[in-house]
Formats: sequence, C-alpha cells, structure tokens
Amino acid sequence: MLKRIFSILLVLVVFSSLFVGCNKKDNSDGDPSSTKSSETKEESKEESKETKDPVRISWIDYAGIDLENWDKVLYELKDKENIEVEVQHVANDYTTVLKTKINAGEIPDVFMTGAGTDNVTYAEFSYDLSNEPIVDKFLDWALDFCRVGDKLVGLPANIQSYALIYNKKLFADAGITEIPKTLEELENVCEILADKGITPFSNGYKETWVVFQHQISPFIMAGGGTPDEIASKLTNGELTFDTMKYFNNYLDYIDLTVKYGLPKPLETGWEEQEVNLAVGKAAIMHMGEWCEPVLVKANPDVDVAFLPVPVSNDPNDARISSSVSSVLKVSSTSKNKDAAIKAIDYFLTSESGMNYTVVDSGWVLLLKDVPVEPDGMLVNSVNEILSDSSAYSWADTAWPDGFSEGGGKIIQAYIAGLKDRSEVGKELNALWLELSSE
Amino acid sequence: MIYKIKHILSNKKFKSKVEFVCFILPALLLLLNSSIIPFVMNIYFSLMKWNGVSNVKEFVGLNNFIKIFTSDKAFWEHTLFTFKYLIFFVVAVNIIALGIALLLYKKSTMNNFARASIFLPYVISLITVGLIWQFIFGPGFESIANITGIELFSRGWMSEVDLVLYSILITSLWQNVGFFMIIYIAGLVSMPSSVIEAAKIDGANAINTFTRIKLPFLAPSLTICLFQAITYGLKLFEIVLVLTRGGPGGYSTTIVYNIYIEAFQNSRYGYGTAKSLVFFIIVLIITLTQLNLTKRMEVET
Repeated sequence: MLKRIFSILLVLVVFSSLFVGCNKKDNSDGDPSSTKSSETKEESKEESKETKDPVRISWIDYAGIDLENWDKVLYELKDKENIEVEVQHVANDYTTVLKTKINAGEIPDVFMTGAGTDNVTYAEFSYDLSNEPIVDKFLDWALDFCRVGDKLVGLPANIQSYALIYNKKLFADAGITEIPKTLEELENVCEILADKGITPFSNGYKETWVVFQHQISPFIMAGGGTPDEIASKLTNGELTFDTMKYFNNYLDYIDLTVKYGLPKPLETGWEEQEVNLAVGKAAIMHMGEWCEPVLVKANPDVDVAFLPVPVSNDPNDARISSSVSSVLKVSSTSKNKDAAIKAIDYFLTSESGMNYTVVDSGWVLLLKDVPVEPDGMLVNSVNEILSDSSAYSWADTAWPDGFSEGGGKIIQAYIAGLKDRSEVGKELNALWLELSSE
Repeated sequence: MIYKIKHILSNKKFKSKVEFVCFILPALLLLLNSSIIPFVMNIYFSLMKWNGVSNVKEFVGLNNFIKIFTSDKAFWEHTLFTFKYLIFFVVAVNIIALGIALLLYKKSTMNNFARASIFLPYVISLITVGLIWQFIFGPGFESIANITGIELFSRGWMSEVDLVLYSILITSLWQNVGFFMIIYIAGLVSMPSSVIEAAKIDGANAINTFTRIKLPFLAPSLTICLFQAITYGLKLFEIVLVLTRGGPGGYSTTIVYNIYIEAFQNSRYGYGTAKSLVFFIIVLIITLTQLNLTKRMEVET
C-alpha cells in the first residue's frame, strides 16, 4: 500500500513539475521582460527592499575585453538612476544569439549591431530615435550611418579603422625607414625583412573576416563608388568581381602575404595572429585598432603603427579604411525605452562610461563633444594618417548576410590551392547573386 | 452507484490502463514539446522564404526543395564529405572498440582502471574535446616535429586537404571509443561462460571461439553500436566547428554545418530548415536500412 501511495505521489510530482515548466514559458511568450526580472528578483530581493524597485532593462553586446570599468557603469546607473541593467556580452557568434532571442520574443531592450546591412535587417525591431533629445549629442554625419529611410534606427557607438599594422621595432631593426605605399614597395620591404631573418607577415587566415572581409575592402573601394553603390552594381550585374579594377591586385597581395607569412596561415586565429606580431615573430599583420589591448597584454613594450594597405602601384591609393562600426539600438517593443536610452547615454557620454569605451577599449566616439581623448598608439596613428589623406569606407557594410563567411571560404580554398583565380572570381560573383537575391 | 464506481476502480483492466496512461503521459508531453512540435514547425518554415528574424514570411511552396536538388552544389559536396567521414568512422570505431572490449572485459582492478580512462573522454563536452585536440594538432604536433624532426608533424593538420579528414577522425574516435567499448563489454559479460568452456573442451582455438561464438553473441551489441555510430557520424558538427571551421575553404564542411551556415550566417532560415528536412530523410533511410539488415542477422544467429 505504501508503495502505491508513494508511486502516485511521484507521478503527481512529475506532472506538476511539467506544468510549472509550461507556465513559465507562457509568461515569456507574452511579456519578454517579466521572466527575466522574476528570475533576478529572488536574488536581489533584499537589496531592493531598501529603495523602490529599480527599472530593469536588458542589454546585449559583443564587447569582450576588460570589463571591470563596464561594471562600474552598471553600479553607477543603479545608484544614480535606479536602473538595473542585465548585460550579456557575447564575443562569439553574436548574431546567432541575437537572432535566437528575437525569435523567442525576448528582444533585449538595448542591442548592438554593425552598421549598414545590419541596420536594415533589424530595422523593424528598432525604435525610431529621431525625436529623442539624446540625438543632439552625436555628430550629424555619423548619425547618417544609422538611418534606414527617415528612421533613425540606432545611435553610432564608435568609428573604427583597419589596415596593415607593423611592428616599428622590427622595421627599424631591418633598417626600413620609408613605409611602403605601393605593392612593389611592399614586396621590397618583405624581401628586406626576410633577408634579415624576420618573417614579414602574421596571417590569421582562419578568420574569414581577416582574410576576406577586411582585406578586400580597400581593393574594392579604390575602384570608386560608395559601398551601397558598389553593392547595387554587383547585384544588377554592372560590376563583377573578376572584372573589378583591383581584384587581381588583391589576389597578388594575398599571395604575397602567404609567401612571406608565418606557416599554417589557415590554422591561425585572430588572437594568435595578434600575439605573433606583438612578440615579434612577424612584422606586419592586417587588423583594426581594437587589437591594441591584446597587443599590449602580450608585450607591454610593443610599438606599432598603421600602414595603409598598398592596393596598386599608385601611392595615393594606399589609404586606411574607417567606418562607423557599432550601432546601439533600442528595441521597438521595449517597455522601458526611456531607461534604455538613459543607459546608452551613460555608457557613451558619462565619465565612467568613457573610462570603459575610450580609455580601456580605445574607442573613437562620435560625439560632438568628447572630453576624454583616446590615447592609444593605433588611434594616434590613425589620426596622423588621416591628417594628410582621406579614408576609405568599409565596403563590407553593404554586403548581404553570409557573404563575408562564404567569400572568405572561397579565398581560403584559393590559399589551400583548391581553386584557381578564374574560379575564385566566378564563385564570388555567383555567391553574391545568390545571397543578394534574398 | 458508488458500488459501480468502486467496481470500475477495482477492475484490473481499467487500473492497468490508467497506470499505462499515467506513465506514458509525462514522457509524451515532453517529447511533444521538445521534438514533435518543433518538427512540425520545421516543415512549416521549410515552405517559407524567411530571414530568421523578420515578421514577414513569404510562402514559396516547394521552391526551397527544388533549389536543393537542382542548384545547390555545395550541399551535395558537403553530403559527400560527411559520407566519406561516416564510412571511416563507423568501421574504425567499431573495430577499435571491439578490440579494446575483448582485452578488457574480464574483471580486474587494472582492467577497471583502463576502462575508466578510455571512457573518460566521452564525458567531456564536444567543444572541449575539440579545443584539446586543436592544441595537440597545433603547438603539440609542432613541438613533436621540433624534437623528432618528422616532417608529418609539422604539416597543417587542421588546414591541409589531405589531412583534415584524419584529424577530425582521430578526435572523434578518441572521444567515442569508450562509449562503444562499454556496449561491447556489456555484451561480452552477459555471454554464458559455459558455451566458451564447451568450445575450449572441443578444441576450438582463439580465432574460432571469437568468430563462431563471441561474435554471434555480440550481434545485438553490434546493432546498437552501428546505429549509434551512424547517427553520430551523420550529425558531426561541433568538432568540425572547432578544429577546422569547415575548412580549408569549405572542404571539411559536414551536412549539419552546412545547414547551420545557411540558417544563421546566410540568414536564410526557410532554406536552412528545408535542408534539415532533406537531411532528416537521409538519416531515416540509412538508419532504417541498417537496423533491418542487422536485425535480420540477429535472428539468423
């Protein structure tokens, strides 16, 4: 008898637990913010008793380094504004995580995306910020990067630049005083370095964005036109990759980096690539200014500067590539839009926010008034280069989803010897037409 | 009235039915929630053109499927690579696991220890396994090459076309052999020792006892192991993601990885789900054929 009662109880427990599970789920479908707060409520019950209930918002971004000062922004927000931000940093596979959240109806109140294509993809989930007073703090031309039609879908967080980065010490050791501005000069420099026993290139070609997305961009932009114009020409067939002005130069350049690079480029990820440069295993790599914290961590005495990619044999074509890179958006379904905007405001314009963005991460903010100037080797180098030449935009901001990864695989296959030049051009064209037709 | 209800309640048939329903219902609900409903939704999405985020879904009928069979060369190349891996994996994992099981199935402290250490990798998560081997194939092999001077170790094990298949194989074998070994050991342990003794008395040598007695007894284990190995091999994803990212240039991309890229990188969710349905049917056909064949073998023995 006892056994029977016990078994019935067990069945009941199993059953009830099942329905408890369902119950929670129903909640989350209707109201995205409620489940999250109910989870955290229990933890912070004691704290919240003292003050009145804080406004809770969720925030997702792809920041990945040194988050101590980030946390200070959070404390301050809670202290001064009574806003509690639930932050999630996703360094890997960010878009997948964001898309999953959106599909599940749990759109974070604040989310970070890239500029360009990303603006269009997430436009319907972005709150139109045109009429918010915070907009006045930002530079007008930077805001233009965040518009879809008349709608202001987000706020520009930072501008970033990428180009070749070289180790000044190794260049000095090899007796190179003039930085190369044409492809020929670049090859000469490589020969000189190699003669002195210094490997010229560190190639993180496991990453499709290193081998393809970032490196081909100046070669595309040097052909003329804005990213959007080039994209629409590629879509309607006016322009193709194999007939592009500097496409062959790009492949020559890739050949050069592989020939004069460290072994196993296709197995090297971005971190290894950066460390190799910092510790002096190689003299040049292609990367953006955001890598400075990693470089300094690997070698505190590292001394580096930018070297615009030589795209042809005309020195005027060698320019750095800069663009608004991250955009912060407020969800159109957010129940606490004001709190969300306030959180962005704190993050980008308060002193504690700038400790993280400008001082720690070396961001170049896009505000009309920036009290703290970033002070990094690479940021200074960008400013120096831009003082006497203009920059290229990033061609990839107008690319369809998946083209960076897919195109990168084609170039990787080219490096592995699986494809020849004519195949590379044809396959890039086909991939573009396939992905842009969606 | 009350008497009637009492009568029904004490009726054995009714009781067993209630018991049956009670026991089956929780599992059924869970299954429905986590597998059957998503599957039906999958079919629905596969008829749509959808980027995975937008509220707008466009109905395109069977166009997604037509595209898979007419113009998606990459999908079939990646299917071919998956099959190539599958054949190597199924054969190797079963032979190695059976070999180890035959060595270790008798009880002793040493054997217990060996079993545990071979089984251990199976408990580690796939991503971690991938990272461990990424280290071995990278810096690990490099230092071996430096010490021994053997050229093979200095090659790009995660980026050369003729090597990636083997590095993926080695990694997945290292992880899975333990699991298959346990199944074979279970089969060997449950074998009546009287039969083997009888064979020995009749003068059978080691090879004969293995092929004529042990192997037939292991037929049920073999069915399970083949089934597990085939489904694992077809679903290969995490190790490729960590070790090679499907490279060099898409060469080592598996079917599941291809579907993942389609849905999440190319933002073509509808097309991706259509591919996953095709994949489902491929898995279904292969595993059903295998189960039918091996079951027949079991009956014969």
